[in-house]
Formats: sequence, C-alpha cells, structure tokens
Amino acid sequence: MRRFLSVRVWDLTTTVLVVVLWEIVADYIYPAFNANSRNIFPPPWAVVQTAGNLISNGELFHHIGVSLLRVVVGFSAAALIAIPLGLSMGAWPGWRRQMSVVVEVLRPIPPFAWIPIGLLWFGVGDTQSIFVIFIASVFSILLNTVAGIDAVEPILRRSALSLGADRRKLFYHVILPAALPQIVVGLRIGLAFAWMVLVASELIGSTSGLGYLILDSRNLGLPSLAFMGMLIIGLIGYILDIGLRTLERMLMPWR
Amino acid sequence: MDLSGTPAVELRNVSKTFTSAKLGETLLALDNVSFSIQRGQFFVILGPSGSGKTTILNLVAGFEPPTHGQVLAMGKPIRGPSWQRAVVFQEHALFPWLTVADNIAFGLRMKEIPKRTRRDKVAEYIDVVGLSGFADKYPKELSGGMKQRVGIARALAVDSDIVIMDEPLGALDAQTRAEMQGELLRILQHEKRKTVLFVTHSIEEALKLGDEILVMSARPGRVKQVFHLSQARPRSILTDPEILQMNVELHRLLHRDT
Repeated sequence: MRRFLSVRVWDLTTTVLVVVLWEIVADYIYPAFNANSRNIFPPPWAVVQTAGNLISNGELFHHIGVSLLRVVVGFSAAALIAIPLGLSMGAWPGWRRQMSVVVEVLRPIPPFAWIPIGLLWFGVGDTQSIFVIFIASVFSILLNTVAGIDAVEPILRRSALSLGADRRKLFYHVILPAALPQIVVGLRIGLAFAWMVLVASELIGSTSGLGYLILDSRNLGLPSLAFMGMLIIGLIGYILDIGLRTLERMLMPWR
Repeated sequence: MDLSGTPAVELRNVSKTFTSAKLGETLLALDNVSFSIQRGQFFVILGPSGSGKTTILNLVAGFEPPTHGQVLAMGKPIRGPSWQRAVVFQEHALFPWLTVADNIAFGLRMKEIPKRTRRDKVAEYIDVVGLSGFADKYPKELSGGMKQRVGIARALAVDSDIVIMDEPLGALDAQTRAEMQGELLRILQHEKRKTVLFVTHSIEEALKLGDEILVMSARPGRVKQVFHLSQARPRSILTDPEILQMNVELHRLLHRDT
C-alpha cells in the first residue's frame, strides 16, 4: 500500500472530502447569502493561489524559516536544560525536594503569560519568541523525565544490582534506557507546546514568522493569507511530530 | 583459611518485621529462622503464601537487611546485592531494551569482562539454554518459557557462587512448566557444583528438583521441617516409595496451614 506521511492513500479520502465541502460552501453556498463572502471565507483555490504568490516571491519560505529557527533554538535549549535537570532530580531525592516548589509554582503559569515579560526583557523579535518557546516546552520535558525515572520498575533495579551493577552503572545501563520512552513523550508534548506558543508570540511581538503572517492578513484584509498561514502551521506541526516519532522508533527498536 | 567447609548460605536466628506506616501495624514476616545451605546443594524453600519465602530470598539476595539475626554468604555477612548471588525472578525481569544476547551479557558487562570473553560466554549460554538463533531478538518477541530461559542464562553467565531462583517457573503454563523443570536440571548439569536457592509453592517441583526441602509455615514465617532427598535426578515422583511418602507428608504439612 502506498504511504504518504505515514498515512495510507485510501485514508486520505475524508481529507479530500473536507476540502471539497470547503470548496462547495465557500464558492456556492455562502455567496448566496452574503455578497461579501469572498473577503471573509475564501475557497481553497484562493488559499493555494496566495501560497503560490508568496512562494514565487520567496516570502513564504522566509517566514517559515524564521519560525522554524525560533522553535528549534527554544526547544533545543529547553531539552538541553530539562533532560539533565530531570535526570538529576530523579537520581537525587533531596535535590528533587529542593526543586519541587519552584517547579510546581512555575509550571501551572500558562506560557502565554510570559509573553509581556518576554517583550519587556527582549523587545520585539527572535529572542522574545525563543524565550517563550523555551518556557512552554521546558516543563513538560522536565516533568516527563522525572516521571520516567520514577516509573522504572524496581525489579529491573534489583535485577541489575544482583548482576553486579554499582550506582553509576545502574544509572547508565538501566535507569536511563528505561526512562527513555517517557523522556521522548515529554519531548513530543514539549514540541507541540513550543509550536503553539510560537504563533502567539509572533502574533504579539514580531515582524516576521508565520504568526506575524496571520496577523498581517487582517491588516491587509486578505483572509486567504490567514487560512494559508494556519494550514502551514498545522502541517509543519504534523511533520515535526512524525519526525519525532520516527526518531522514537530508531532510538527504541525494542518497543 | 580453608573455607570449603563453610556453608554457602547461613541464616542465624533471623527475624524480619515490616511496619506499615499507614496502619501503624507491625507484621512479623520471619520469626527466628535458622538454616544453612551447603555448597553445591539444590536447596528448595517450600511454603504457602505469607510464609516469608520471598522475604528470605530478599535477605539472601541482599535487597533487604534482617531485623534481627545474621544472614551469611560464604561465611561473611551480606551487606547488599552482589553478582555472587545472582537472582532469577518469577517475572523474569529482563531488560526490554536489550536483545537476548545483551541481556545474557549484562552481568559480564557490569563485571567489565573483556568483550571477546563476553562474546564466547554469551554464545555458550545461549546454546546451553537452547536459544540458538534468538540472540538478536528482543524480550517482547519471546514466549514466557523462552524469556525465563534468558533469565536463567543471564544469572548463570555471571558465574556466581549462588543462584537464587524466586518461583522461576511460577508464571508459566502447566505444560511449559513441566518442560522447564526438566530443562533446568539439564542446564544445571552444565554448571559445576553451583549452589541453588529455589523458592516455590509447588510440592511436585520441590520433590523433582531439591536436595533439601525446607518447609515454612505461614504468619509468622517459621521453619517447620526439613527433608533430605538423595535420589538421583531426573526423578519420578510417582514410583519411588520414599518420595511418595514425602509427598503425602508435605501435603499434610502444607494443607494444615491453608
């Protein structure tokens, strides 16, 4: 069976039907009630046309590139800090108790609430977005790393100890690989959050990126631009998750 | 000093209590238990649930300390887990991220045995437990019986003085279990005088495998009686009159408890 982005071609039937329905509503049904419908609810071909224009003048890839860079930098920084921190908290209960109040108070703050502070500290631009993306993804990676270590079955620890593992070897040869699946879950959730707040931060404090593009469509009175931006955001989010799932399979062939 | 006369394992007046923090209750799991296991013996602990079988095993493995008394291995007090007392668990406890070969090699890696020796040893044990052709499979690809073969190979490959087996065949279906009892005897023939501490609640299994059977009583766990068997293995437990007599006796002892 032919596959496209890990989906069988036949399974795309509903997707095609949704687009067809969209076309019918936007081009035939809605205009019958509202003469201004084109400027509110564009048909799919208008969205494709807008995308075509932005691709030919290079603007679309510029905005995608800017957004991706922000996500990659913010998310990577979060992973580089959260994974070692989570591992250390999982390994040393005293250190974890020290950290727990700080983490538990900061964690429930919605990442969007950090945007004004980000703007104040870093101004309009890349750094502000990266900061908010970092905040958005760091907690899910951290907490899942700790949870992954907690979930290591005691019998596997005992099994390793009775085969001669010392504390250090136990950590590298048992706890780390046993916690890995949960750490990857944290990365996937973190990446989803990162992508979500990216758009919010660009809507408010940026002059480039996909979020900015969506906001710009309102100023330009061009709804097809917003639709296009949204679809591209959705599509890239989807592709990023597939990428992480592929990485998951490569890292963990035993699952 | 010649230690060859020292028992492989010795429990001296061992008691173990557990305190439930939630209920504030104390449970006496083992009450003044003493026995010793001679080197090279296949020593079976038989008892109903709640008789402290697993507690004894955890003490000998070094997973838990006794509340009172002394637990000795090769004449020395046990201070914690060691590869000298490798454990085969009922739930096999294989590392799911390692292949069959890497699971068997685990103890050897922990001991930092050179790669070449390790490879030879792993190949040897894969052969001994009858898993040729499965070296590169992951545990999830194996049946219950095969997983337990890996668990046994893993504990034997590390070359410990003592192997502790916690109802290793308890999770298997009846047919596989009977087959594995025979396999275990065959596998252990490959080992030179290894001391085995084997925990079970199956009378049949105890009679088939043990040199010595220690019967425990439940709540609190106490030593009830010790049986010696000198019959050669594999044994038929249905024809030997002495074993038949023991069978009746063991049933009587265990069923009075439950």
